[in-house]
Amino acid sequence: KPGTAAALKRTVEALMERGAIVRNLENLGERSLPYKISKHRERHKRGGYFLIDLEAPPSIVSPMMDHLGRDTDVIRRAFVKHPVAKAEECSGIIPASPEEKLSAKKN
Amino acid sequence: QPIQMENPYKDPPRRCVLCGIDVDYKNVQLLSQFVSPYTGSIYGRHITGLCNKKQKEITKAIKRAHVLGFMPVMFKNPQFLTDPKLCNIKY
Repeated sequence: KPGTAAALKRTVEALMERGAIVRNLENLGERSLPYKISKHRERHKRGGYFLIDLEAPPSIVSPMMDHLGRDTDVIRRAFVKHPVAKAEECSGIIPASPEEKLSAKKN
Repeated sequence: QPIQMENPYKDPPRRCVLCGIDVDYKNVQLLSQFVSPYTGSIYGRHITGLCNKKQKEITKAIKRAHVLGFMPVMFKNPQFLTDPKLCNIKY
């Protein structure tokens, strides 16, 4: 546990150093991974999941991915865009007209 | 003289199962309901019965969950095997 805390602290400090504003840090729990992941010459079966909410310029992504790749405590890293709450206009299943059915390509 | 108007007895448009629900790559339980328990493959539109948008969102979320290590790829998480059936499939 002190290991994970130290790793998180390192990551957040590295982020703030490059000018990112950390809004929130969520712990999604520690569970056994869905499949064994080999990273840094080790086969991992359990891991902790953390989600960092942040605002940063896009130029930060590549250096941060490098930085996290070199960190042995990090098994898998990713940057994900914030899901934008779009307008709630899900209008249900619109039945396709016969013209559409004829011209639609069969994939 | 009959007045021209839109059919007042029209049914409201049929909503799919996920109409109005946010799809997130983090809730593995919801995502696993659209995945085969034997092979882990994603069900097609004719089986899930979802509208275009939601099917696309679900597919993207499932693929993302695979890559980020939230959901198993080759099978369905046994924890979620007893979930209610949403898809039109007979085993």
